[in-house]
Amino acid sequence: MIINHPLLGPRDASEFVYKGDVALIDRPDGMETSLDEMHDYLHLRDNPAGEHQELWYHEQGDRSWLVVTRNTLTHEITNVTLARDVARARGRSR
Amino acid sequence: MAEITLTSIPCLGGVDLRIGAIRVLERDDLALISVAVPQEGEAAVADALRSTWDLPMPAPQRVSTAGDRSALWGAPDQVLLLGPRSTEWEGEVAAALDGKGYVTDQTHAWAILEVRGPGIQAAFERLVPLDLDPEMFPPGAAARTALEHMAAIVLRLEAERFLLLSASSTAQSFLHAVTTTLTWYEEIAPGA
Amino acid sequence: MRVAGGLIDRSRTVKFQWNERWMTGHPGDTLASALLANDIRLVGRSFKYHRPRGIFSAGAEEPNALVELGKGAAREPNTRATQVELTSGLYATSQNHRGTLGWDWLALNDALAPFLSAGFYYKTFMWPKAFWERIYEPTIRAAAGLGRLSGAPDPDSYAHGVLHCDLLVIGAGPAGLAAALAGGRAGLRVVLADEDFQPGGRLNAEQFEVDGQPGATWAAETARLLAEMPRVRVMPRTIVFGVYDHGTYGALERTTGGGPRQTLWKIHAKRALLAAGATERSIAFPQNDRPGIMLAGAVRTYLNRFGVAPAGRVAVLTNNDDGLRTAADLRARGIEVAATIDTREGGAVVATRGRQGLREITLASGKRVRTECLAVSGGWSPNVHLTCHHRGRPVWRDDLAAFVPGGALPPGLSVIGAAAGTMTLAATLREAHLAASTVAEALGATQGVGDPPRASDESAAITAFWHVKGQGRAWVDLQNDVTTKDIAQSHLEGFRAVEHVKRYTTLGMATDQGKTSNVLGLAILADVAGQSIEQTGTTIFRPPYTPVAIGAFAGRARGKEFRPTRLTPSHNWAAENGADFVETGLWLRAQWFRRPGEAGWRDSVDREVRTVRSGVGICDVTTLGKIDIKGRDAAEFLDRVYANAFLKLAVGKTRYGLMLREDGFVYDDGTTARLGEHHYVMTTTTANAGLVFQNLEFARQCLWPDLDVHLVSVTDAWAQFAVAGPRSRALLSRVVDGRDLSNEAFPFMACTKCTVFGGTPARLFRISFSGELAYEIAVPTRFGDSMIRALMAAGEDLEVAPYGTEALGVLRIEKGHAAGNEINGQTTARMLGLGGMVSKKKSAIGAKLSEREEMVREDGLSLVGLRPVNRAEMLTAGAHFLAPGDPADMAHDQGWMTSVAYSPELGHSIGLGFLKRGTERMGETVRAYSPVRGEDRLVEVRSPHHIDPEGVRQRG
Repeated sequence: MIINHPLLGPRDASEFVYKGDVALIDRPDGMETSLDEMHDYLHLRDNPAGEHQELWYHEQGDRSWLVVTRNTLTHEITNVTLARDVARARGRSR
Repeated sequence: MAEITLTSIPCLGGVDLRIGAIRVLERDDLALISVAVPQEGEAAVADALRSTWDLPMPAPQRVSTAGDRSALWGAPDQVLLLGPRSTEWEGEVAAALDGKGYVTDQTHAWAILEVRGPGIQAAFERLVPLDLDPEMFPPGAAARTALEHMAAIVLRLEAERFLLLSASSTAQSFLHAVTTTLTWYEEIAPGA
Repeated sequence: MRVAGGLIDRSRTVKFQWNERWMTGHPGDTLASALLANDIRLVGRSFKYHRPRGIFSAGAEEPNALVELGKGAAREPNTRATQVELTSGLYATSQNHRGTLGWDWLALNDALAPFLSAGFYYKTFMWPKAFWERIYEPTIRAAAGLGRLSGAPDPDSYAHGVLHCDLLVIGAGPAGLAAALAGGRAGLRVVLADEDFQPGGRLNAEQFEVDGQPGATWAAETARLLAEMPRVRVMPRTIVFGVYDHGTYGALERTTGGGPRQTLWKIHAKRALLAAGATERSIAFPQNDRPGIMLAGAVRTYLNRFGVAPAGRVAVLTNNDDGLRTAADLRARGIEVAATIDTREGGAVVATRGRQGLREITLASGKRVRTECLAVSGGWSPNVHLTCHHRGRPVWRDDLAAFVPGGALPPGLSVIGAAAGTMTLAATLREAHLAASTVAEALGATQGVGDPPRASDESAAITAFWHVKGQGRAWVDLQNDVTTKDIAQSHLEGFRAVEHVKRYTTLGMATDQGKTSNVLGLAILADVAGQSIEQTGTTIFRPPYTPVAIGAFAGRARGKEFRPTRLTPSHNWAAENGADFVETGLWLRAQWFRRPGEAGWRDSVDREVRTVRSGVGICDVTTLGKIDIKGRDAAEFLDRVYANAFLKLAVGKTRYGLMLREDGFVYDDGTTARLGEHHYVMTTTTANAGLVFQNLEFARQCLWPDLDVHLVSVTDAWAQFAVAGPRSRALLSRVVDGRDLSNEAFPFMACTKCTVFGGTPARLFRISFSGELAYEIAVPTRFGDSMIRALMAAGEDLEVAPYGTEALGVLRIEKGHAAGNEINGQTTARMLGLGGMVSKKKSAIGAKLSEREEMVREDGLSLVGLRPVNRAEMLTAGAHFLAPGDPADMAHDQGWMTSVAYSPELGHSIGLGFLKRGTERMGETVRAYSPVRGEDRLVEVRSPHHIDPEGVRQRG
């Protein structure tokens, strides 16, 4: 398996560590968050048959977190971006 | 206790050996200093590197060099400076980047081997997972990767001359992996 | 017997041993061709009936000629003699027989064959039930299996490697060579891999011409041309065994001469062309398994490539024109063709004779023909295996009587030549050339690909014919002894889907994976079921194409090199000073330091503990994770990743940090020191160092991408030593340059950058894991060895001594500090008595979910200390707590003992544990019950701080 790192080009999957659904970026911060919201964030995931956006960590590389768009049916990877950019695009900042 | 002073001992005892036509030697004379680039601080770091040592900011997977000093791309917000190991150079880096980047001396976190000789690229096929084809990985290229489950930095100085960096704690396992691979290569293709 | 011609080097002789007999062959021979040249016909025994078997094929498909190579620990079973390159001194033996190959007493099974049909073991060994374990299973196990493993560790070495290319060509037959040549000329980076030691494939086995030269000559010449191209790599002896994701291919290269015995390659290819050729299959007719009955194409291979005739008189049975070529080639070499039987003209073989080798065949007409070899061709099956590795399903083509690649092929892979169903030479060469040109164009190559090689198309007409019905067993799968009758029986008993038939009959299993038998088996099944082969369908193939030794997958990761070893900076010094080492993760740490006169480890550990409690001890704590955290927002970042408050930590101070997982359970703990305005250094536990770093990077990049915070792992950069005990200040005052270490100037939890021994940079922390007055001092790693020696020298008159991880454990249990045994992923802050630390004012990682009802129960578990009521008893970890008098069941369970140690200071065994409502129960007596160890002790509940509960010593 090969992940095409947006800065470094194709790298073997053995350099990476998998975390899970990209939704983990959307952490409800702040003390006013309800327990239920936090529970949903942490434990509930979609399990799509098809395109899935997921977080990978380039542990044996530049330590970037990446968002990899992978088709769970074909294993095709159609897009790889820096998770930091994705996080900003999803409205996260400080 | 003024009579005691501490000595720095090379991670691999200053190893220097030949396997076939390939030479492996420890480079204990180099310092590696991490410079983290603050948010929105890239221009200031680039300025400091250029004005102090005439070093351009390196592109991803590349090294920029000026004299005996180099800058490696480490991560999207990190540059690794490689230069002569001396307190002067370390002080120089701290002074030049003071307030512009976050400086962390990484010299002792890494053991450094220089490996050079004919056939080295073929020999490394059984060691390094990277594509070392000169078009992809020319002299001046550098990459972090994993060798036998150990963190490593591979840096190509010349067509047949590399620096291999690995964590100082696993230096012995790392040396073993390198020498085993080179010995195999010599046995498969004697004198190649 | 040898005949003229072939590609072997007759000027040289190679000596080898077969079943302890010395024989000779020539360079260029396989073991199989050399055995045939030495007139060896019987080479093995079949799996189930132990029938005599001879060489059947000339390649990877071989079901019969499985041999053991080498002796002793290096013995390798189940090797196909047809692929073994003959080398000087080769030692080969036949396998799967009791007694000699010629007199195998397990051939008794053959006499019992009527009772041993498909599924017999499912039915037979059901009763009496008690017989299974003691009689049936051991007997079946002893009889089952093919070759024998040596039982000793494999003495050979195996390498792993990674190759990158534009175009991977799999197979170096005519299609592969033509494709590689076009790709190479176009300037692509090409890898051409072939399982054989001699490139050429069928060109070496036939009398074809290419570009006006003999095919074999063209193949050799082309391989030479390719080898001279700098961007082309020709890899003979390399089998591409699997197709993985994103253009990754698994390949196994056998090395001749020195180096690793095999290299397992991961090949990353932008495109690949599968030119794997085709495999010939047999025809089912009565008694068709005798030595001497071979595939017709294999007979040509032995004749044309190796200069060997399998016998002086050969008959041919075929359903296609290709088979007829065998007769022509035999005649051309002066071998007598006893009969040419073409099923398209109504010919058939209805019986054979010859127990250990064919002597006679009976034709449909009843005529008996004397012959020692029968060359059989039932047609050719494209080698579609790799096209199935992404679940592509082959499709049937009636005109070829064969399955061709179908369904979705692995991305980037195309199929050319016979593997694609292109069964004639000229068409194959054109197709290969075109396919490589297309790849070159797609990859943007600019150089020309040249012209395709020229040849003429041979005749390959076929009319499917599968089965001569008649008296006697007709074999389908020679390796597993599956006959036409077994397939019919499977169908009769309701196992009708192809996958069921395969598993019920074992058709297509074991080392050859049915390369010669699958299609024949499907055809028989279709016939029995009264449907077409298309309707019947086919099983598909998984990697590997041919077996790969486990050793090759393991590579160098064996024994001590299973994983890298991390050594502490004081490792050499510790080894010189009597240390026993223990593995903690990848690290080797000193467990204790043996001294003369100490009878066992407890003596050493007790002494080390007393040293720390009464004097000064030194422990290498480099293994703890160390992370430099820098940036304008570093404090804010720490405040969010730790459950307790960090915003107000002053420069020069250290604080204990409690890290939760997002689900609210305790994850890790350690200290974080503030060394500068924007500079912190965090320590983590040894075990979690990598994971904590990864999670911090996640928080920094994904949760709060605009915080200015930067992380550098400095675990390997600093050699860090704990200096602990009442005399630690005295020792460090001699070590640290020009600094007042008095309690006032450098109090508990202080930290600073400093220098030691006249100028070596260092970091000093006043932190304590043991509960004594203690420090941790760090110097750059390369000074670590020198540092431990200097510390020992400087403290000689203070009777300084090193202590290991075991004493470290005793000290922390005495002090009541939680460690891995307590923080096991099920622990809440409240259980540790640290509930109050979790700030309610900020949404740190884990803070919210740590408020869940179950985690804040009033009657929950809490950390307590324990000691035996009878002080002479030793406690054991893992014991469960029960109220005295309660029954020992889960309903009455009140917690468990997490850690125990013998306390030299207190003179008895002590423990830590989690007990329901523990903090309210000081002084109570409970049972510590361990049914596993048969122990039942009364223990007294007390504070987890067995010594110095007020913390006077560490603050002193």
